Amino acid sequence: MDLLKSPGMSSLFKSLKLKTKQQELLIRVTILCLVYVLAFITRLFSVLRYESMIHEFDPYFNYRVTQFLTQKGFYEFWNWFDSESWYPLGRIVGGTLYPGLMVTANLIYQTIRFLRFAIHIREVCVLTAPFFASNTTLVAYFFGKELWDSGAGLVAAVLIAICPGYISRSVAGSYDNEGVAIFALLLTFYLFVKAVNTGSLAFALATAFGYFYMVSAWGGYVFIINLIPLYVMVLLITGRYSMRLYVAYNCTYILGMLLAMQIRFVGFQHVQSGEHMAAMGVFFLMQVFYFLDWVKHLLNDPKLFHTFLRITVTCAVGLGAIALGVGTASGYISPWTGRFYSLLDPTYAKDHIPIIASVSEHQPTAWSSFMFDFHILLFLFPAGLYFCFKRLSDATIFIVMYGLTSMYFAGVMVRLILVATPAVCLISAIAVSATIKNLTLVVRAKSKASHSASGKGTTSSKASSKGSLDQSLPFQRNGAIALLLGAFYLLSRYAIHCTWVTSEAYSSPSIVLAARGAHGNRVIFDDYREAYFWLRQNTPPDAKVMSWWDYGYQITAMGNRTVIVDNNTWNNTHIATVGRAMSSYEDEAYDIMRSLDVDYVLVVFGGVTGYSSDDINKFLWMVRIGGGVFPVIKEPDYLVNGEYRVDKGAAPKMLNCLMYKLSYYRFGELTTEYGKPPGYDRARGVEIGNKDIKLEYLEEAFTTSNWIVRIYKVKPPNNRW
Amino acid sequence: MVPSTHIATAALWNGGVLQWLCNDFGVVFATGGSGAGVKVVIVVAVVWCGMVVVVVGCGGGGGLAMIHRQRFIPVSPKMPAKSDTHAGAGGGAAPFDPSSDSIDPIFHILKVLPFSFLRPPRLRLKLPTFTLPSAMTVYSLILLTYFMVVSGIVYDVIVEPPGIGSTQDRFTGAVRPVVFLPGRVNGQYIIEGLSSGFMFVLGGVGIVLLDLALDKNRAKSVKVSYASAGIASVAISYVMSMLFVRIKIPGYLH
Repeated sequence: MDLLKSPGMSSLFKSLKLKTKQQELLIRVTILCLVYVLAFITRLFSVLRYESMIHEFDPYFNYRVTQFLTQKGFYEFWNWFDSESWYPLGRIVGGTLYPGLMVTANLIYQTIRFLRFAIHIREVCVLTAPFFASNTTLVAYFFGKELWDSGAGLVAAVLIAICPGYISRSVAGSYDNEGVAIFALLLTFYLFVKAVNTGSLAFALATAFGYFYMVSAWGGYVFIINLIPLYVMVLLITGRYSMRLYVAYNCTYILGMLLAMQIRFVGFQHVQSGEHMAAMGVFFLMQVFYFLDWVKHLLNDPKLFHTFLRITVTCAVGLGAIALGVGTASGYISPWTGRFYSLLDPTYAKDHIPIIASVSEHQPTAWSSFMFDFHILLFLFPAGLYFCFKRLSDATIFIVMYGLTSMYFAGVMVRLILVATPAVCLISAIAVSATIKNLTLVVRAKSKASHSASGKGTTSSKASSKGSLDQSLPFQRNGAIALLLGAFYLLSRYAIHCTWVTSEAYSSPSIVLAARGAHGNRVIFDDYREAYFWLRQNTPPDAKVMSWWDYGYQITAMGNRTVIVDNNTWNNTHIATVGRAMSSYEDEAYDIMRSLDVDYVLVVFGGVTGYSSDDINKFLWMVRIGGGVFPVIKEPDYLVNGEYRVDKGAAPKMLNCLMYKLSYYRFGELTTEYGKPPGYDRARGVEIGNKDIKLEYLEEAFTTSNWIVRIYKVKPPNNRW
Repeated sequence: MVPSTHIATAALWNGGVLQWLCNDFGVVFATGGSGAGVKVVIVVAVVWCGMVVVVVGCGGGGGLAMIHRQRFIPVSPKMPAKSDTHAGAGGGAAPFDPSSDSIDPIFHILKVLPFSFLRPPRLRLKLPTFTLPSAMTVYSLILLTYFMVVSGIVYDVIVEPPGIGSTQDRFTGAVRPVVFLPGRVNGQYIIEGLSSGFMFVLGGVGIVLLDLALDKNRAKSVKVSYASAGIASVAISYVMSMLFVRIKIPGYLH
C-alpha cells in the first residue's frame, strides 16, 4: 500500500497514462493486430482436421508449377513446354498462365529459406491464401479510412476478416489465383481512390503497379479495367471533372497498360480486345475534356465556347464511333470472349457454350447462396448505400459503383460473390459506423446537457426548455442504449454464423471425403490419393491416362503421369473426343483410345459410398460436349422420355456405353446396403439395369477400397495370325 | 426562318440519300460481288453515318447557337414585346440575319445551297434538355435493382424454376405446395426468392428510417414514429430471414 502511494510509483503511473490521441492509436493498433491474427486462424480448420494438403483440382496445377519454379528457376519456368498434359498436343505453360501466384509463393519460400527455416514448398503454398487474407484486412482498413473515417475502416477490416464469401476461396489449402487476386484488387482500388482524392502522381504510379500485380494474378483484371473507366465516365457526367482525376486516370491507364503487356498470356489484348476498349475510349475522352477546358480558359466568351463545345463533342464522338466500327469490322479488335460475354447476357452460355454452362460454380445465384455468404451484410448494404448517397464525394461514388456492378455479377455467377465481398463489407461498414456513431452521440448528449444546466443556473426559460429536454432525453438515452445492444447482438450473430459456415461448408479439401458412420463417428475416404499413388507406383512412367477433364490436374501432380485432357479446358475438340469415347460402345471407344495412345482409363464412381459428384452424374455433360463437336453422339439416345436413368428402364445405348461399363463392372455382385438387392446404386438410389458386364478391350487394373476411383488398363491389339 | 428546321430538312435530305444508297446496295448484291461488295457497303455506311452525325450535330449546334443568340441579344426594358415579335417576324420574312456571327461552316454552306431558294416550314421543335436526377431518386432506383438481384432474378430467368413447388401427400394423394426448394443451397423457387429479397430490403430500409429518426430538424412525433418503424422493420426482417434460412437448410447452426 505504501509502495503504491510512494512518489516514485505515482510518477511512473503518470508517465504511463496516455493522452486521448495516444489511447486511440493504441486501441486501433490493437484491434488491427487482433483482426490480422483472426483472419489467419479462422481459415485453418481443414489443416487442423485433416492435414496440411492442397485442396480441390486447380490448386494442384498451381502447386506443380510452383514446384517446378522453385527447382528450376524463373527462366526455365517462363519458357516451359509441358508435354505431360493434353497428350499429344502439350501445353505452353509459360504463355498460358497467370504467374503472379506462383512467383509470390516462390518469393515467400526463398525469403523463409534465406532465414534458414527449412520448410517444404507445400506448406508455403497451403498457407499463402490465409496470409494474403490477413493483408487484405489491412488494406480494407485503409480503404475504409479513405472513404469515411477510421471507425468505418476498423469495422470493414473485421467484417472482411470473417466474411464467408471471401473465406470460401481463400481457406488454407486453397492455393488458387483468387487468394492473391482479391488482395491485389482491393489494393489497386484503394490506391486509385487515393490518387483521385489527392491528385498525387506517386499514388497513380502505385496504382499502375498494383494493376500490374492484379493482371499477373488473375483473369478477373478485366473487371478493374472496365470499372475504372466506367467510374471516370460517371464522374464526368456528374460534373466532377478535375485535374486530380485527369492525372490519376492517365498515369494509371498508360503505365498500367504497358506493364500488363509484360504478361505473355495477356499480350496485346489491351489494344486489340473488345473488352479493353472502354478504357481506351475514356482515355481519349479525358483528353477531349482537357482540351475543352483549355480552350474555355483561352476564349473567355461563353456563347462561342458553347458552339465550339458542341462541334468538338460531336466530332469526337463521331470519330470514336467510326474508329470503333472500322476496327471491329476489319477484325483487328476482337469481340468479347464467351466467358465475359456470358456475364453480360447470362442466357448465352446455356445455348452456345456447354463447357462454361456445365461448371457448377458458373450457375446463377439463388437467394440462399447470398444469405449463406453474407448474412446481415445483406441488410447493411442498402443502408450503407443510403449513407454514401447522403455524403456524395469522389470516393463514395466509387464504392457505390463497385458495390452495384459487383453485386450484379455476383447475381449472375456464384463464383463472383468473391469479387463482391470487399465492396459489400466496406459499404456495410459505413452503415454500421454511421449508425453506431449516431447512437453513441445520443447516449453521450444527455451528460453534456445536464452538466451545462447544473453549471449555469440560468433564466427560467432556459431552465424550462432544458427541463423538457430532460424529460425526453432519458427515454431517448435508454432507447439508444437498447439499440446499441441490439447492434452488438446482430454483429455477434454474424460472427457465429461466419464461423459455423467456415467450419461446416468451406473447409473440406474435396480430395478427402468425410462422412458420418453408423454410430456417428467420422469416416474418412481417402480414395483419390490412394488411386493416384497407385498410378505413380504401378504404371510405366510414360503411361497415358484418359479421364474426364476434372481430374487432369490431380493426376499429373500426384500421379505424375501424362493425361489427355485437364482442367485448363482450352481445346474443346480434344475434350469432345474424350467425351465421345466415354459415350460410345466399347469397340468404337477402343479405336479412339488407340488413336490417342491411351494406356489407362480412370473413372470416378460413387455408387458404393453414395458420393454424388461422380462420373455417372456428370455423364450427360460428356454427351453434350461430345455431341457438340461430333453429331454422331445424340443426347436423346441416352434418355428415356427425357429422363436420365441407369436402372432396368434405361436406354439401351446408356446400358452399353463405355462409361456405364467401366463404372458398374462387377458392381452387380456387390451388396451395398442392408435389405437392398446386389447392385444397388446408393448415389442414384436405384438398382442398376445391366449387371452382367463383360469387357472386351479393357481390363480392370485397380479399384480403390471404397470403389470411388476405378482404373482400367487398355489391352494392346490382338496379334494377327 | 426558325433554325430548328435545319434538323427537319437535314432529315429529308438524308432520307433521299438513304433511298439512293438502298438502290445502290441492291445493285451491288444483285451483281453478286459479295466479299468486296460487303466491304464497300460497310465503308459507305460508316462514312454516311459520320456525315449524318456531323450535319445534324452542326445543324443542331448552329441552330441552337442561333436560338441562344436570339436570347442573348440584350433586350431594352422599354420594348420587350416588340423584340419578340421582331424575332418572330424576322424569322418569317427574312430567313437569315445577314450579320450572322455563327462560326459553324456547315451552317453557312446550308445557308447558300438549299436554303437560298427553298423555304422550310415553320416547326415548333425544341431539343430536350437533360438534367441529372437527384441523389435520392437514384437511390430508390438502386434499391429496386438490389431487390431484384438479391431475389435471384438471374437464376429465375436462366433456370426457370416454377413459382412454387408441389409435393404429393403419400397417404391422401392431395397436392401440397412446397415453398422452399429442399436439398440444395444454390436453388430456389421464384416466390421464395422474392420474399427473401423483400425481407433484406425491409431490413435496409429500417436502418435508413433509424437514421432519419436521429436527424435533428424534425418534429418529435415524426422522429418517434420513424424510430419505431425502423426498429420494427429491422427486428421483423432479421427474425424472418433467420426463419427462412432454418427452413431451407435443416442443419443450420448445428
